[in-house]
Amino acid sequence: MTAVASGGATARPADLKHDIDLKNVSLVFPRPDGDGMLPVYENFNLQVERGSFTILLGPSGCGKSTLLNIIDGVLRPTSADTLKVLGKDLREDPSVTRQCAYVFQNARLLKWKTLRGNVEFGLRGLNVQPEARWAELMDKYFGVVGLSDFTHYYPHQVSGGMQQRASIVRAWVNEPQILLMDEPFSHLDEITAAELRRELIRLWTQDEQRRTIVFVTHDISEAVQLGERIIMLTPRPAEICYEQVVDLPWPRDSADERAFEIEKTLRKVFAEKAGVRV
Amino acid sequence: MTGARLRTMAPVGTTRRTGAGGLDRNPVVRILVGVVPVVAFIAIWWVVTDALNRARVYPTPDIIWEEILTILGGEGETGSTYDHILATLYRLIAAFVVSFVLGTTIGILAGRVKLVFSLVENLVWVFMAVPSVVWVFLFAVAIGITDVVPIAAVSALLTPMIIVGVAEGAKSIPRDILEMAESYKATTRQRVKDVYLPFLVPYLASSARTAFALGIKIIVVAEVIGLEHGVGFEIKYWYGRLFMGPIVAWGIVMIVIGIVVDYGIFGPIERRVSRWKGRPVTEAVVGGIG
Repeated sequence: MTAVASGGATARPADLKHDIDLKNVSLVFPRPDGDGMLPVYENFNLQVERGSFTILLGPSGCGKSTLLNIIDGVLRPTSADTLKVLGKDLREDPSVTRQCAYVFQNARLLKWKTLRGNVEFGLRGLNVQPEARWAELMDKYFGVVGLSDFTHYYPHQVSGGMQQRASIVRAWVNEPQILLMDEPFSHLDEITAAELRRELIRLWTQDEQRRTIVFVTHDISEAVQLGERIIMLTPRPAEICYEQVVDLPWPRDSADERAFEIEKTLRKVFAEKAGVRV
Repeated sequence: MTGARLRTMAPVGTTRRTGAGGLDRNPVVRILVGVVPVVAFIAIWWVVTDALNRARVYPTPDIIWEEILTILGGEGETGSTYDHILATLYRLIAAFVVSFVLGTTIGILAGRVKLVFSLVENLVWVFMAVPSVVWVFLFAVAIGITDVVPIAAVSALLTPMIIVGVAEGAKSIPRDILEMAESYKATTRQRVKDVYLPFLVPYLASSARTAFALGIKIIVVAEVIGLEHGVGFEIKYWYGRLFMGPIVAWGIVMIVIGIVVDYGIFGPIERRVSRWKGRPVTEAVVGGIG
């Protein structure tokens, strides 16, 4: 059990079922052309069970990343009845988002810091205590993703896949309660992406108490490979139009018949409901 | 031999470029290309000044060389030449520090906060447009003849320049990096120390370089008024006696100081702070062979 990091155990009430609880969340943006308002979410509801691997699947531009930003506390919705993360209202206690860590589409490393320096930047920002544990935490997670020998390299000295691994370490090393992942493998070639998906599952399943993952993607195969629960969103204003539970053990094989069937169903629904052919 | 082989192998049209590249890389040629124009310039000067035959007003290069040796010797007609050089350098460094601190602070704010940018924008252009001599007289009247005049005049000129350079850099910090810092709840200290400043370092280094190069020229102009010390005073002194040799000699000394500082201090600093921008390891290895 790794409850020490980030204040761990105390941050999540034992009887809490949903780590993320959004009710009637609405968000409108001014249109870029200045012509009125653009509704991104209208009375949107989402509950994410603790320790689950939830996929948000939707067409590009439907506001999936926006939702992650709302959960991460960096974006305030226009209105919401419930806006709870780890049982706390984000409007009252924004510090609870220190228990969330973000993995972006591109690695977003600081080019002037080594991989280790970048990971430390996250530890310092999220204020992981005690500081004496940092070295041990970094060694551990760099080891899991196979970067132990590269921690003193600068980002430009390593491949894109290694940069994204480092950004996963930057998120995981905080031992956060919630991981927000925004299409983290979409910029990688398929072989590297497959490798990183396996590593992600290994990272996630090795912990005694599983972390909650909200993973955004528009790739249906990836969704079926990784997720326990797949939530499909429509284009703006985004609504949940379909839900699919994937009850298959990891690592999953894309040639597996059940996985293939689920993928087929999802593709059909995606084309119908989201109005997107894939 | 190599040239002949290349000509037979390379497609038409690339031969010339290969040849020029080879020539360019030849160290002897490279030195010659640098030296020949300077030598030619001195030669023409010598011929012309010799023909004019008024060494006091049109000094020949050998006279200038002697004047340079006098300056380096340390004992001049107006006291220790090193005291004059140090006085000028002290004022230059003071002005440089003032403008750098002010310029960086205001520049970062202007680059990140739209209101600050709007507030300083017009003022900066006005300050940049004012001729340095105007500053000198204004400050001389306002604060009297002291060391502060040249320092203030040069600062007034350099600060807006640095503001513009730094603001430009601060504006171009990538959004996704700032979002990352926000998502990881980076403190203000972290943002300044680990995001803004490292990103701005190349901008700061190039601003510093340009500011120093400009400053060393302007400081001498600013010193001409009233002061009893400094290179500007020397130049005014010799102008009053209509001796041009020492004036040119002082000019050359300042050029050399400028070059030494640029190559010896700013160059290495700029390279050092830009380490992280180096080439990928693999590329460096492959490129290193060529």
